[in-house]
Amino acid sequence: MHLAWKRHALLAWSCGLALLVLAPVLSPGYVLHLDMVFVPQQSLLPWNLGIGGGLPRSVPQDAVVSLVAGPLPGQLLQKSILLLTFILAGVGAGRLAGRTLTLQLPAAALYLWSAYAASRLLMGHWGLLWAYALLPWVILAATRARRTGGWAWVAVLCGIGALVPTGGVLLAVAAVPLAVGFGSAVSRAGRWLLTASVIVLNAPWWLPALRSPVATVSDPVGLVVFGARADGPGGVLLSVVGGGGVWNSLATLGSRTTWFATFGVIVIVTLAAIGWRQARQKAPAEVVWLTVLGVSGLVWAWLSGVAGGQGWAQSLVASVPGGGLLRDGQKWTVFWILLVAVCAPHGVARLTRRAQRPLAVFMAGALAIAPLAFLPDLAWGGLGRLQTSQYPAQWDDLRDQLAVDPRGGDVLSLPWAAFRRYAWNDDDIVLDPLPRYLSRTVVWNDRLPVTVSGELVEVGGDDPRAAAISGAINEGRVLAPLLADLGIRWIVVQTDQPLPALNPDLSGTSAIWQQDGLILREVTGPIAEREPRDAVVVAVDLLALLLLVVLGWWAVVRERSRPAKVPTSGL
Amino acid sequence: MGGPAGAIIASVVGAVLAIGAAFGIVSSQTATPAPVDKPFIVYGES
Repeated sequence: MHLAWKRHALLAWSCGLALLVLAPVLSPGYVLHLDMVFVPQQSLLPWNLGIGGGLPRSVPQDAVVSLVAGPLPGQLLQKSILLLTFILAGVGAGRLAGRTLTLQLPAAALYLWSAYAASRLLMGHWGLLWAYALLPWVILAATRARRTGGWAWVAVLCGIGALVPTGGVLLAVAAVPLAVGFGSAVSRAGRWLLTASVIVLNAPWWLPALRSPVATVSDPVGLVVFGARADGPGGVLLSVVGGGGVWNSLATLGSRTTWFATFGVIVIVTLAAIGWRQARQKAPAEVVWLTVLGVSGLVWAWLSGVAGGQGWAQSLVASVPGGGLLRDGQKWTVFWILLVAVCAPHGVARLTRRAQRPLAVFMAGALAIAPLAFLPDLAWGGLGRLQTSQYPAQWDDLRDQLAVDPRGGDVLSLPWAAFRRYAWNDDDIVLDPLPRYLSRTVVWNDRLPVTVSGELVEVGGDDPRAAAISGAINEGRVLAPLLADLGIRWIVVQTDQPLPALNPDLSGTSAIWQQDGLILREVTGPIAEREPRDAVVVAVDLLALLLLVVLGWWAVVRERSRPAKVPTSGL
Repeated sequence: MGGPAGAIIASVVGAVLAIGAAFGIVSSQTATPAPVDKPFIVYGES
């Protein structure tokens, strides 16, 4: 009984912490907060695969949601993903830290209850958080590959975690060099196969990016706007060292502004430095590689905050294809956060190695609850900042109205702004849910409005149709002829928004349906036919899916054939 | 290390964590994240 309790303590601890963070999210309804949008039934549309719109920023995340949301209601999917993400993060970090509970429980808490996880949760970047949760697992799999030569799990986890481009890159960078690097038991053929598999499994986002007719370089203004920020008295450097420093103040916890939180960062990083050597002795390749990545990511995050306005940094983002992945610098501290979470418990173990057992256990316990003390307002969904709400019934009526119409055509979402505030969602700012709610492609303003020093700045979008519509609205032109040329038949005007002035001249369209807060208008006359297709992208997506299934099957079969060789923890 | 020294260390660590957490909770209700090195950026009031 005693041993059984110990065996499940890490899982129980992680579940407990995850529930403490996400409890309000579990009540009926949807969490609609900044970039986090889930809908009851998301349809699979070309833009979900990166076809026909702007750059594939949330690809294949939305395609996966569309496929899974068939049998699973959207709100259940959202709750399951968030809960699973936090539990996996805790258990994974704990297992990577070592075999004893005095190492596992603090590591789980430090990784799960981190400023990084808090900021990305509050930003709504659940796809990136999913990769964050899988990072320790992919390193564990790479460790196993180094020892046994079996690399299938590395590829499978890299594929499962690649819901968004950043997630795919960070998992691949962490795992593949480790699995195939010097001293690995993976065969020469296996190394090539693993590398090729990870490239193919990431193809759903990089292939449409390469084939996209729109610019493959990013607006350099984004580096200034999305650069790391100081969220506490320690400045940019201590903010990113502690996993904070996210650019958006709406995604920052109030406790980060205290000296106590800064003190906590210093204490935990000091403990990690003390424990680094011990951790490295137990797993040299893993700790050294994680250190290289962690320090590199940390330096880039800091530079993004202090040198984002400099020419060389902007040229890096603007001139290198895919450089846009670098512009939100704070997200690259992910390796550092895991390194600190894994090493700090070793630091406590080293400091208390001559202490009596009760004190050593107490200090490990103190480290396990320290993240809760340093960031107490992450509890309960950021002390109530994440809450659920229900879409009004008229949203379903609108979806049905458009779904039954046999004619082709896309939809324009107005007012012409990317974000919405709904009274039924407690006036929380959220990305327009309409593109995910309807079963037709919705064109929306993908330019991101932010205020810098009190002035409104827009970070460039990349959907050509949205750019054309922006131009027409700014020039005060009548939209209907342009919409017809762009293949847009319908316009949904959300009348409950605070900036109706952004609604343009809609002459040449007529209202055909109206309910509380929503008006559906139709462009009178014929419209151009537009059905974006890319057989190559679809074929490669199917290939990636098939490869993931085959590798998963192979990994399970291989594991069953040699259960005794499966390591249960990392260091 | 043990006995009174261990108890003192445990008490200090426990007290620091408890007081700091209470301070953090109060701050989260009374303070908004303040710009330190650069102004924060927020979404437009759209």
